[in-house]
Amino acid sequence: MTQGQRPSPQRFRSAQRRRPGIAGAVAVILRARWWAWRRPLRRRRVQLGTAATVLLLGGVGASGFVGARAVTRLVVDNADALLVGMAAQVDGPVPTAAQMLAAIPAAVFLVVGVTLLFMTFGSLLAALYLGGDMPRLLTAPIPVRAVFVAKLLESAAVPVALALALGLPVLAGYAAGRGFGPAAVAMAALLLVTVPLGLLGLSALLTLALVRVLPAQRVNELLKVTGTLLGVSVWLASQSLGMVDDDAASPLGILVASRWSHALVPARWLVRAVDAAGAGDWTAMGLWGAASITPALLLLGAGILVAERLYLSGWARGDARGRRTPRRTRRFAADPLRLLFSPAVAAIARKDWRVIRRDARGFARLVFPIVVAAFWAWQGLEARDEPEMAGAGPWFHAMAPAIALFALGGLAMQFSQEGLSRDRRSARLVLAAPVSPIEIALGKGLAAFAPTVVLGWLLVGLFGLAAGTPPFQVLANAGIVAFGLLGQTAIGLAVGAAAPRFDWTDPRKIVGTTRGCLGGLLLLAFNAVLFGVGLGPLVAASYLALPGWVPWLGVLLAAAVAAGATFAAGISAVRSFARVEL
Amino acid sequence: MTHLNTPAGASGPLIEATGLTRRFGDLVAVRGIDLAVAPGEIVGFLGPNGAGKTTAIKMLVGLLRPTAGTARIGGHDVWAEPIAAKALLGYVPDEPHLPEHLTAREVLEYVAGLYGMDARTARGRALELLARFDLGDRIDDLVDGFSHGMRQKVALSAALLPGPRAVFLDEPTVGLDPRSARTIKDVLRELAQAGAAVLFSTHILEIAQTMCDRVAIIDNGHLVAVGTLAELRAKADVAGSLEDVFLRLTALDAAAAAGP
Repeated sequence: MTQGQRPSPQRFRSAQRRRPGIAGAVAVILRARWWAWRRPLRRRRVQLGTAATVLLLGGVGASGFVGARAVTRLVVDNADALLVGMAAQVDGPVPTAAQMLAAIPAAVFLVVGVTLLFMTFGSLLAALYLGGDMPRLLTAPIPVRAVFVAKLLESAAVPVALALALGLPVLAGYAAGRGFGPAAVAMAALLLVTVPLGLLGLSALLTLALVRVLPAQRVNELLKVTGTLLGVSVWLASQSLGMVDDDAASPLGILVASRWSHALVPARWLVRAVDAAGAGDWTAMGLWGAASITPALLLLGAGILVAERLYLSGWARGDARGRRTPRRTRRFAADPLRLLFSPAVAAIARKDWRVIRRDARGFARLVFPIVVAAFWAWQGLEARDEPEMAGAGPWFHAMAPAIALFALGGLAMQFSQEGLSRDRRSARLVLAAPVSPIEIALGKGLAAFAPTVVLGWLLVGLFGLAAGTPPFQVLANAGIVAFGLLGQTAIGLAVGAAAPRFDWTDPRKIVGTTRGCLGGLLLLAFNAVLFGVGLGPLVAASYLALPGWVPWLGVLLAAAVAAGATFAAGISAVRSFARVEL
Repeated sequence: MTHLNTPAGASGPLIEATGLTRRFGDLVAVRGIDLAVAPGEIVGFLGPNGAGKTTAIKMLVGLLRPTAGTARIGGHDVWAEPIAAKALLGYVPDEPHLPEHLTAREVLEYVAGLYGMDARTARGRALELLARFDLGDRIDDLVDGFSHGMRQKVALSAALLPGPRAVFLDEPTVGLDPRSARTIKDVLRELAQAGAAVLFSTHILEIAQTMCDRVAIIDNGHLVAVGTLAELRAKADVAGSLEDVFLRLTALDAAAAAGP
C-alpha cells in the first residue's frame, strides 16, 4: 500500500456457506410455518374442532352440489316455460336459455372472486406487514422476493382451500346437471386454484401501493371499517331485495344473475372454459381457459416482480406510526363519573370508552347494529298504515324495545364479553391495583352498557315520537331496554370473565370460539325468556279482553327476569374476576 | 420527588414471602420461598433464565395465586386482603404492556383513578414523573407509537404515581437509555430512603452489587442464598465480585440438583 492510499475496507467472507436461493428460502420459511401450524393439531380439542369444521364444510359442499345440480336440471328441463314466464313479468330483453344456465357458475365464480379479493387483502396485509416474524426474515441473508413469495403462498392456502371446498361442489353440481364429464370438473378445479392466485397478486399490488401511503396498522383498521360498511351494504341490499314482490323476485333474480354471464364479464370466460371442457371442445377450452388463467398469472407475476423494490421499503416505513396526538388534548380533570361510582369504576369505564372510540375496529362494530335498528324501525313505521296492522296498537308500540334489544343486545354482550381481555397484558394495571372484583365488574359492565343503552333510548325515543307512542309507554319501553341490556351485558361479562384471554393479536380472537358460542346461546335464551314473559301478558290481553293493567304485568315480569339474570351473571363475573391470574 | 401513600409505622417487613410455592401442572416453578424485605431496604432478586423470578414476583403482587405459602405486603395477605395489600405496592413488569389508544397522560390518569387519587395530586405527580423520565413533551402522544424504552418509562411512572411503599420491578433497566437507567437507580434509592421496600430482579449484576442492601439468588425455583454481598461471599467461599459469587452459588446448586 503506498502512502496516501486509503486502505480498502476489509471484506468479511460471508459466502463460505451455500445460501439458499429463492426456492430454497421459500421452502425453509413455509416448512417452519407448517411446523407451527400442525403442532396444535396434536391437541384433542383442536382435533375435534378441525373434524367438526371438515364435516361442516363437507355438508355445505354436498348441499351445494345437490342444489346446483337440481337448479341446473330445472333450468335445462324447463327453459322454455321459464323464459315465457319471465317475459310476461319483466320489461326489456329476456335472457336466452344458455345465458340462464351460465348464470349459475358465473355467480359462483363472481362470489368466490369478490369474497376472496377481500379476504386475501386482509390476510396478505397481516402476513406481509404485521407478522411478528418479519424483522427476522427481512434481516436474514435471503432474497426479499423469497420472503414475499412465501408470505403470498402462506396467505393463499386458506382462500384456495375454501374456494375449492365451497365453490367446486357447486360447479361439479352444475356440470352434473348439464351432463358434463370429469373434464369440466377438472377445468373448474384448475380455475378455482388459479383465480385466487391472480386475486392474491392483485391484492399484493394494492397492499404494496397502499402501505407506501399509509402505515400498515392504519390500513388494517381502515380495512376493518370498510369490511363493516360492505357488510352493512350487503345486508341492506338483501333486505331491499326481500321487499320486491315475491312473485317477481325469482325470475328477476335469475335475470339479474344472467347479466353476470355477459360476454365482457370475466366470470363468463371461466364459465365458457368449463362449458367447453364439458362439451369436449378442446380449442374453445384452451382459448377461454387461457383468457381466464393468463390475467391471473400476470397479476401474480407482477406482484412478485415489483416486490423486490417495493416490499422492503414499504415495510420499513409501514411500521413507523409517527407521532400521533388525539385532537383534543386534556388536562387531568375531576371525572364527573366519580359522583356516581368509585374512582376505580369511573377510571375503568372511562379508559374503555376511549379505547373503543379510538380503535377504528371497535368503532366500526357500532355501525351495523345502528343501521339494523334504524332500518327495522323505519320498516315498522312504514307498515303502520297498512290494513293488516289495524288493531295492532299495543304490539306496534312494543316494537321499539324489541328492536333495540335484538339489534343492540349483541353489541352490549360483545363489549362486555371482551371485558378484561380487551386490555391484553396491560390488564395487570388493574389486577395489581387496589381494585375489588366488584369494581372491575362494574367498570367493565358500565363501559359496555352505557353506550348501548344510550343508543337504545335514542331509538325508543325517536320511534315513540314518530309513532305517537304515549309518553308513559315510551318510559316503560326505555325501562325495558335498560333492564334487557343490563341483563345482556351481565351475561356477556360473566362468560368473558370465566376465561379471559390476554395474549391475542387478532382482535377477532379476543373471545374464544367456545365462549363466543356459549355467549350467543345464553343471549338467545335470555332474549326468548325476556320476550316470552314480557309480551305474554300483552298477547293474552289482546285476545282475551283482560284488564288494562295486565300488559304492565309483562313489563314487571320482564324487569324481574332481567334483574335476576343480571344478579346471577354479575355474581358469576365477580367470582371469576377474583380468580383471574396473569 | 418521593411520595409514599401511607406513613411508615409498622416495624415488620413490608414484603414477606413465606413458603411461597407455585406449580404449573407437573412443573414446580417456585418452591417454598421465604423472603422478607424491610422498610428502607433494597433487595436484588437474581437468578438464571427460567429460575422462577417473575413467577415469584407475580405471586407477591397478586397476579398469580400461590399453590402453597403466603405473600404479605405491609402485613396484609395479598390474596386474603387484596385491597389493603395492593394499595401499598407498585409493580413494573418485565414487558411494559400499556393500554392501547391512550396517551401517556391518559394512562397515568387511568392508574390514578384505580388508586383513587384526586385529580390535583395525580396531575402534579404525573407531570413530575414524566418530566423526570424525559417524557414531558410527549405526554399527550399516544403510547402506541412509543418505543420499548419510552413505554418502560411510562410503566415506571405509572407504578410510582400512587407512591407505593413496596416496590417490585422485574428487569427495570431493560431497554432504557443510560440516563433513564441512572434515573431509575436514583428513584429507587430515594424510595428506600423514604422508607419503601424495594425488590427488583435484574441480570445486570453490577447494578445489583452497587444498589442492593441484600441479594436473593433463586435457581430452579428455590432460594439458593439470601444476604449481603459479604454474607454471600462467605457462603460461596469466593472473594470476588457478585458475578463470581452468583456463578459459584448457581453452579453449586446445579451440581446438588444433579445429585452424586
